[in-house]
Amino acid sequence: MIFITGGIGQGKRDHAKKVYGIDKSKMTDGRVFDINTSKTVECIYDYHELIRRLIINGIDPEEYTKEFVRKNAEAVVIMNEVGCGIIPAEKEERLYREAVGRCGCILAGRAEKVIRIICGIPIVLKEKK
Amino acid sequence: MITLVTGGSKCGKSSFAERALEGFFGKKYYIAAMKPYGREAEAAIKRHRLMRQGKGFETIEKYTDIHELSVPEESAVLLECIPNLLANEMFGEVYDPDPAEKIIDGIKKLAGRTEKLVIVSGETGSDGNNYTPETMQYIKVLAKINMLITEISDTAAECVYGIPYFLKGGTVS
Repeated sequence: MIFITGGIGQGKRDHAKKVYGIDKSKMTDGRVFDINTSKTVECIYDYHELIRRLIINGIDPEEYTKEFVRKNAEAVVIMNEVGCGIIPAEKEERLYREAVGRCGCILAGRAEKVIRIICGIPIVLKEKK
Repeated sequence: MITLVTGGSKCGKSSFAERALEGFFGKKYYIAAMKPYGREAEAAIKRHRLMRQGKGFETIEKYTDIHELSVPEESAVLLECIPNLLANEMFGEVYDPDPAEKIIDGIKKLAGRTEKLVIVSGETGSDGNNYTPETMQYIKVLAKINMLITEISDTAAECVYGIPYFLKGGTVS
């Protein structure tokens, strides 16, 4: 699994296309990804939006993510880096932000390669040789 | 020996900080700056307590004025965390717009007595939101403190989803 993270609009999907040759039509949006599917994905982006939907649907995002990485061991997973800001005033937003952090640790822990994109520049944080 | 650990929310800063002191066999102190008010704070404290269990830390609760602390020489200290400490210093009974120097003095004093000082901080300036002037000031002062700690630290790392990215130094032996 490849895990690509970074702030909004930094070039994460462009990197996946350029380096891993994934056509944008093959990238699944975390906003519409079928939560209950048994199918695997080649690439999912905005995984943090999937986390938001999981919470709304009463599904434990950490347990779900553990299962997701088991099923999608070959996928490219793209998720925004969130959590480098002021703690939100609303409880739901706080829980969402913490869930993204914990799920990010699960994704990064499982991934063979973790890349952070800033201004279009990839920084490799982890690479299993 | 000073190590700074920074990063976003729930990205493994505490576990990294504890690992940095794993090989230390002297007396270890954990300075807790988070006030145990409210359910979420209580839950966070409980989670951190469980994480530290069996790792030989003695906990000292100190919400402000860390310069008053007196730990035995040649011990190790894990200070967690600057974002809480700063909030307590700034937004106490009287608003203090810039306690950076006070906090840095406390850190230097601790560093002078300890064999190893590991400091957990945080990143709050990248959510793109505008807040009240006091909160904007908080974000700036926290960033300033992080810079000042990095200047005097041997190692500084940012945790990104559990992975340490070294900004200064490269090991945490």
